[in-house]
Formats: sequence, C-alpha cells, structure tokens
Amino acid sequence: MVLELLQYDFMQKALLAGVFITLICGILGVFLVLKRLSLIGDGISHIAFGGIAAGIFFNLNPFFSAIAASIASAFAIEKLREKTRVYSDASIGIVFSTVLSIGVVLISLANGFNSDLHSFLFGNIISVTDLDLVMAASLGIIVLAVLLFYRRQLMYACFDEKSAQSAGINVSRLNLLLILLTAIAVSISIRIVGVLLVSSFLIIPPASALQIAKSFNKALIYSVLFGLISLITGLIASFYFDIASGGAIILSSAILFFAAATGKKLIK
Amino acid sequence: MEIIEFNKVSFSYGETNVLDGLTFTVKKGEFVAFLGHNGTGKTTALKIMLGFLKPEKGSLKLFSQESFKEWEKIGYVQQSFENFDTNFPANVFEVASMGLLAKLNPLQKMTLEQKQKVHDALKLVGMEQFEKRKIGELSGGQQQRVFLARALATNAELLLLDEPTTGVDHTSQEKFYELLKELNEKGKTILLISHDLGMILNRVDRVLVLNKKIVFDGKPKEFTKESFVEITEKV
Ligand SMILES: Nc1ncnc2c1ncn2[C@@H]1O[C@H](COP(=O)(O)OP(=O)(O)OP(=O)(O)O)[C@@H](O)[C@H]1O
Ligand SMILES: [Mg+2]
Repeated sequence: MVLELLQYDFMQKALLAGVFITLICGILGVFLVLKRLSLIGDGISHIAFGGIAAGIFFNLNPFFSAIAASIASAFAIEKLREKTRVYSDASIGIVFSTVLSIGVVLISLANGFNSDLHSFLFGNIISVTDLDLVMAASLGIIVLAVLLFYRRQLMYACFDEKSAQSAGINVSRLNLLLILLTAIAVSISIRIVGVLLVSSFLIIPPASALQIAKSFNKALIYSVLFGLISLITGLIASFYFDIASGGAIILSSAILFFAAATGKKLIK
Repeated sequence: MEIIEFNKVSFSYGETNVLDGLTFTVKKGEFVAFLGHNGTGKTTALKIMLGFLKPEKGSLKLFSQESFKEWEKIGYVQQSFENFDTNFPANVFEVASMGLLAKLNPLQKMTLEQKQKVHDALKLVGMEQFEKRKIGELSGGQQQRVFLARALATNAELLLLDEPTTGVDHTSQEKFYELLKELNEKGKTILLISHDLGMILNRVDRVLVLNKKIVFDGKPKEFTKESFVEITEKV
C-alpha cells in the first residue's frame, strides 16, 4: 500500500519533506516542551500566517515571506521578553494578534479565501513543490546540525538554568537560539502540516515521548519515532480519504499520545 | 593566594537591604563554614559570586580576577532544588555528567576518562548503583547527592555549596562531610553554607558568620553555639 503510494511524484516529495520536518520538530520540540516554551510555536505560526498573507497579497513567494516574518518575530519576542518583565506574555500576545489581523485584512483585500490559502491553513500534500522540498531539506539540515551541536548545553539549561549558568553556559543566548530555530521549523512545516496545526506537531510527539522516556537520548529518539509514525499514517490517510494532511497527521499523533499515556499508567 | 575577595559589597532586593559592606577573603585550600540565621544573605552572597546578581556597591574578585569567566574552576550546588521538573527525562548518569559536558566542545565525545570521572563521583556519593535510574524517580536526598556528584565530577578548584545536604539522612551526611574534608585535604577550596553546626564544626578550618556583613571570623574552636546566638543577636 505504501509502495503503491510512492509511485506518485508528489507523494515522494511530501514524504521526504515530511521526514525532515519530523526530525526537526521532534528534536526541537523536546527542548521547547521542557523549557515550557510550547506555546511559542503557536505564536510564531500566527506570525507566519501574516507573512503568508502578505506574500499572497504582494505576489511574493509565501514561503519566503513567512520565514522572514517568523524570524523577525523571533527577535521581537526575545526583546519583549527582556524589556517587559511584567506581562511579557501579554505584550507578546499583542504582537502576534496584530500581525495575524494584518494578515486577515490583507487576505480579505486580496480575492478573499482562495484555495492556496486553504492549503496553507490545513496542510496539503499535493502542494509540496520542488522548492519546498529543497528548502525543507537544506534548512532542516542546518537546524538539526545546530541542535545537535548545542544539545548538551540545551539539555543542561532546560534542566536547571541556574546551575547551567554557573557552569558558564550563556542561557539567554540559548533561549534566542531556540526561538529562532522554532521560527524556521514552523515556516518549513506549514506546507504539510498547515498553519493551524503546526505548533501541535512541535508539542504532541515530544510530549508523548516524555511520557515514557527515562533518559534524554531516548526522549529525543522516541519523539522522532512518534512523529514519523504520525507522519506516515497521516499521509496515507490524507491520500486515501482525501482529507487535509495536517489534520490527519496531528490526529494520529494525538492518538499515539493517549496510547503512550495509557500505556504508562498500565505499566505502573 | 586569595580565591574569593569581597570588598565592601552591598546588595538590596528592591527596598530590602540584604548585604551591607560585606568584606571577606577566602584563601586557596581553606575549608570555610559560612553560617548565619535564615535570611541573613548567605545565598545572596553566593549568587553574587556566581554572577547571577550584581553588587550595588563594592567589588569582588574570584581567583584574583575582576571579571572572572573560568566557570570550570567552580563547582556549585544550589540550595534545595525548587524548579526541578521531576518528569525530566534524564538518568542519574546524564545529570551527573552535565557539568563536565557543558565544558566540552559540542563536537567532542566524552572520553573514557571523563566517563570514569562521573562514575567515580557517583561512587563517592554512594549513588553508583542508580546510574540508569531516572532522576525524578529518586528520593530528595538521593537527588541532592547526584547534584553533588555533578559538582565533584568537574575539575572544580572551588566548591560553593549551599546547604548541599538538605534532605540527606544523618549517616549519609556524616559520610558526605567526611568526603568534603578529604577533598579539602587534596587541595580543593570549599565554602559551605550549612545549619548543621554539630557535624561541620569539627571538620572546617574556619567559620564565617554573616548578618549583612561578617559578624564573626575565626577558628571553629573559638566558636560555640552560645556565641552564635550572641553574635547574631547583637547586630
Ligand atoms: N528574589 C528575592 N527577592 C526579594 N527578596 C529576596 C529574594 N531572595 C531573598 N530575598 C530576601 O533577602 C534576604 C536574604 O536572603 P538569602 O536567601 O540570601 O538568605 P540566606 O542567608 O541564604 O537564608 P537561608 O538560611 O534561609 O537560606 C531574605 O530576607 C530574603 O527574604
Ligand atoms: Mg540560603
């Protein structure tokens, strides 16, 4: 059944791009969840949507406008977090909503709800272009390399910021790095998972892995495995039942999460 | 050689003044008990040494340097682990390695020798049989021992210990302080914050009592529990 699917050119691209996305989201997500930054992905996806809308409106490549907007927002978030100690989450929320509403206005000024936008919102495997694949692969490799490079410092900082700092780790620089990587991960995941659900792909597989992992390396491995299983079942379901790939992938990851949580209870 | 030098350091949290002209030095190879009642600024002074807080007035030097950066020379165990996520996916060995790994270039693998150091540190604190256990699945006292092992596994020359034996049972505490004494005899400089006077006074070389500034500095012999009450209440 799977082999049959792979005859299709678009399916090959979707799967290949999907594997890169899963690797990045799976590993990055573990750090985000442990650092209590799960919702950052959600916020950045709002910004990415604004970027996509601007791209559609001004006739630019929406991928590039999305990634530009997300990266700019990553710096803005860190600045806001530093500057406004009190209610920094509220001010960050305000920035997100502002960009999102600009996006909505631009979309309605353009010809309303076009089909392109639909696939950005919900994910569409048929829409994965060669360029998307190349971007997912190249940015994916960069993000992975950076994560692997800093994994020990990140692990220490996630576990205990104060002690990490006393060991000479620059914790605030690592935080900025995490947010930047999240911006990139969100942008390249949108084609397949969709703006609405991209943040779930950063949270659910890692959260499932954290249910059962007893060591850090295992948490990373399980997270990627859960992500891959969700990706593959989601893509197959999307193809056969003609449903949005984002929904199918996240639904399977949610099912896996409940399975892992129940499995953990049963073992105990 | 002076390892720690505080020169008229003052610090306040907002309106609350906590340190007021704190001046003291610790020399290489000393084993110092840093005492004082709750809220007298001991942890705050430690945080200033570690660079988490900046002095309002005054200055300090570590290893004779004004802007000290060689954090690998310092091993730190913080006061009871408040923000610790018991579901954190790391086993005992991974936690005990964190300090060593933070100092490696990210592309370097841990050498056998370094792994051995972590094993040895865990053995020293009596946790070697738990290496594969998830950190959150240990008792509070056992976790504290793992954090000690983490500080010991590095090549730290100066150990800053903030009530490191909170939650550790009495026998293990004795063993732990004995271990500190041995480490000190091998050359490590130790600043130990503790309320267990009975167990530490016979092991340290020097006692500092803090109450915004140093109110007692002398040999443990010159220091008795009665004098402690007197000294700290005088201020
Ligand atoms: N983050 C903070 N914000 C405001 N006040 C603080 C803060 N941390 C400590 N304080 C206050 O500063 C004073 C000194 O605190 P510190 O933690 O240095 O005391 P300590 O000597 O370590 O006490 P203990 O023996 O209880 O650990 C206390 O009065 C405390 O209430
Ligand atoms: Mg304290």
